[in-house]
Amino acid sequence: MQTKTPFRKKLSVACYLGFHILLVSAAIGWGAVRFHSWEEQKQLPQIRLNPLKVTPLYDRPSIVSDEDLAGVLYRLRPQFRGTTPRINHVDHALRFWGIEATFDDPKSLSGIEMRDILLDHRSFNQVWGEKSKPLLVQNQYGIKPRVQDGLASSSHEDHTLATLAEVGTPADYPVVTPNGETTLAAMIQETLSSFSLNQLEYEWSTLVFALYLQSPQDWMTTEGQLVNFDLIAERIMRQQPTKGVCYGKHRLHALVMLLRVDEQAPILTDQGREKIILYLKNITALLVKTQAKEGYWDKNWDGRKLELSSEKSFTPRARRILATGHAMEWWALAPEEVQPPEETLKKAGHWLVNSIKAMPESEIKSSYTFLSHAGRALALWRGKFPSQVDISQQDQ
Amino acid sequence: MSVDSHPGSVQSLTSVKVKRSHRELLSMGWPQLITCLWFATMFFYFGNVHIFYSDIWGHVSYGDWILANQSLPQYDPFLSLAEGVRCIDAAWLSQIIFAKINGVWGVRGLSHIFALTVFTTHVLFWFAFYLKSGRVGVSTLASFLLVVIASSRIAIIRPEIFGTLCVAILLVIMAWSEKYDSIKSNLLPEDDLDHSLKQTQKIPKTLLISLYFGIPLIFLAWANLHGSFVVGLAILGLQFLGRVIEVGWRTRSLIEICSDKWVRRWLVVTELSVCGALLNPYHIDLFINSLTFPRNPNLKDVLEWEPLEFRDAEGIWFCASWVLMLGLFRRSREAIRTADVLRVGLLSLAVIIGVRMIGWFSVVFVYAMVPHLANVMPGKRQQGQSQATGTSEKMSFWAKKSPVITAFCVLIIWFGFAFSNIATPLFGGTPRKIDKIYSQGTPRKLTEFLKLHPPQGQVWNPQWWGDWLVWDGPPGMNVFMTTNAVHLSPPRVWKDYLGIARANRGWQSAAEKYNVSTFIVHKEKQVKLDEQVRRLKGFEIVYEDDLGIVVTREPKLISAVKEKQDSNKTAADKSESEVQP
Repeated sequence: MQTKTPFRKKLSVACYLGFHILLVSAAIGWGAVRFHSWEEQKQLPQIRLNPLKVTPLYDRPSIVSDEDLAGVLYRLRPQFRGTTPRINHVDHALRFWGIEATFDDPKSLSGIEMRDILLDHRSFNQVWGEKSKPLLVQNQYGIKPRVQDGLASSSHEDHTLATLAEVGTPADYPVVTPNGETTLAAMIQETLSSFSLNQLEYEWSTLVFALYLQSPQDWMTTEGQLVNFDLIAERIMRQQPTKGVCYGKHRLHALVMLLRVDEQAPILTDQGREKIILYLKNITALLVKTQAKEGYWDKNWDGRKLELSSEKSFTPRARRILATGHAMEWWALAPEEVQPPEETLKKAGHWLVNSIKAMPESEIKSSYTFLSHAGRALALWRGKFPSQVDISQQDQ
Repeated sequence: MSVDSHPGSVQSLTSVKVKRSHRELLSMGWPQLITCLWFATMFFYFGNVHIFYSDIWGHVSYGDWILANQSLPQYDPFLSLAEGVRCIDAAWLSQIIFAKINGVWGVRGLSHIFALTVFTTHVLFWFAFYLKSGRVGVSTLASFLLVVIASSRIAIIRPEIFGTLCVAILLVIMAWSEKYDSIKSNLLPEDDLDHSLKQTQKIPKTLLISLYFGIPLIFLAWANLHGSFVVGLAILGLQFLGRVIEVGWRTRSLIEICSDKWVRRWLVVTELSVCGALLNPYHIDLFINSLTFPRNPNLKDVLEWEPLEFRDAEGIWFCASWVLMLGLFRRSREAIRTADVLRVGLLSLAVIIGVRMIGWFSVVFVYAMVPHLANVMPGKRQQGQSQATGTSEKMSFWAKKSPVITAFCVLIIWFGFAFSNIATPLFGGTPRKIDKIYSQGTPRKLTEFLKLHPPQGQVWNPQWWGDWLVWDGPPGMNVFMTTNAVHLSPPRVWKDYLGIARANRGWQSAAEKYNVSTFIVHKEKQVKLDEQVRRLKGFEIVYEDDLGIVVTREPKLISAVKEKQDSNKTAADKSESEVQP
């Protein structure tokens, strides 16, 4: 026979059960709150709508005259109209000429046309055709352009995005992918999410972060590493000077950009800034020491023996334009304290002008990417962006 | 499923007082002799285990760092490439213990603390098995079984040894409480229980103190000693859950489940233990860290965190354990406790996912099997019964007891102690040579060289030497990887490390990325890399011995070594010319 459980016992059991459920729930709740706060730390920093702009600081006719500048820039017009323009040429040209660029020359693409090829799949399809792999692809973190995957892809990690940042593309600018429409913010989010402090190329990613990030706070990468601009700068300065893409010169440009952005919106600590300045001063001293009497630098700009075993594709002139053009570009934006003597700049500027003028068309085409840095550098030394230089007279 | 209690409770019901002679009291049998032999061997063995060159040195370094800075590290203090990756130091107390012991007694102290801790742990395991089975021989067999199953993880000095000690103490208390944790005795009406059964319900105060204070204190210590405390909480929590299922199965009543004394006890003890474990510098974060730790992507490449391979030694022992378990369950008439089934199931799953868990599996497995082993193996009682029925006229050889065996037992224990390394200083003998304390693979000469010629830039090193290099190398040396910080290094760094270690295509550009200026290579384990670093342009071999090689491109290091070589050569030439007539 089943006995009925007294009410008091039921009540006592209910109280007992309730108390322990409450206790266990409190512990689980605490754990959940803490876990949530762990996850919150992984939240990406806020993006500013309009990227910061870094403008030229100097106007030195002694480095390049108006006439020479116009002549050089005229030679470096983006004559890529037609089918299958190399994407690394397009994004370098856009960075060089900017969004405002227009040309009378029917062969040259305007800044807007170049941006459309990069950000609108329909425009990309028009020049590369339906059969080509799309430039913009979806991955686990968002949208990104393909990198080093044939002629229809970008040549450097995050170079396309850094270009768009440097030419002032707002974060809400529409991006058309094969799967639909999104905004540039989706691409910036992807870069932020997939960033690793130890990835192979990080210079352009640094630029994207410096120009687009709203706050200077640390943020956590998906690898669980807290990073900030001081740490990124340390990473940039870690490698041997000439190691890295474009003989390590992109890293110097990225450092200068950090300094310049820091002047507009503080992103570095005082110690971090000092370290960068000291590093750049040393690099400048090294470059002054190793400059050829003609005014150029070569692959071995750190003064070591020239190693050409892995350098079969570039002619000596191309190599020298690469090294000299990049150096002149970062100096053009760098603060006074890291500048070399006037003489060094003059020699380099004159050598660049003369070399570019003397280059045959075919060599200009094949070396366009690093010529774009040289051309931009010369314009910046006259206190202008290339699109602000009048080249219309050159047609005549 | 049967829900009966363990045989210990039944045995204790028959309290027959027989006056025994002194001879009988001093007599021991073969099981005792084998037990003494087993423990003497273990004591001797653990005292002679070499200190492995891997993560122990990282733990000692961490301990020193904590003592020097009087705080816990926020990031790994020795791996600059892991800067910014939050470090939850789950073994901080063990590390301080190691550092203190090393500071006072040096490396011999570390060896002794390992021997004493692991030996004590196994004695406690044995005692827990004895409490469950009531038989010396069976307990020793279980202890042997445990050592065999966990053989791959038994001789490594690391904070886990303190975790194992904690689980041993926990099991002793649990085994003791299981004598009283009987469904029958708690659920049957009082009239149905005879007097002796009622006696079993009277729980000694010491047991209650051990349960309500002892176990939470164990967890307080355990959570600060090693991250394995979550395994202990699982063992305890499943004891509670097992009891809930047993009572629920029998009564089908929530009221009865909630009213069951042992359900209540195990619940409160588990809750108090969680509270005890929360008393650590990271509080609940330590729990989250311990639970999410196995998800770290870097661990996929670490051998001990790989899934179980059935062809490996661990896989074979794991399968053999399951075969043994099924055989025992088939033959044994002993009740199968639900908590044991849950624990063995959970830990089996854990072993399949990560082979490192084999040590913990062996503990719960043997603990669960002990009553069945006792039931299956013929005991003295059964032999006594057969004598009573007249089936055997003579006492079997194994059942014999004698003072002579007792004397042998004492002798064995004495020899086990006297010949151990711990006893050497007590008897004024020559202590074990330092060379014999370190494992053979410890690159001691290499670190001697590095101390004389410290590299200034980034050093690439095998991760298994990283902790030793941090500990014994020049201060502030920038190592690439340590065993202690594999989980802290960003996955990209870890992948690059592996790429270089295996000399995969593009390893040189990966090394360039980190500006590696010095390579330390383990010649035997990194044959491919050894071949390639010798051919590196701009690098020179500055040191080489049987174990490793150091190549560098640091001009200061190269010139310092050359200068020394030149001066040695000049000195040799000079002494040669002096000898000539």
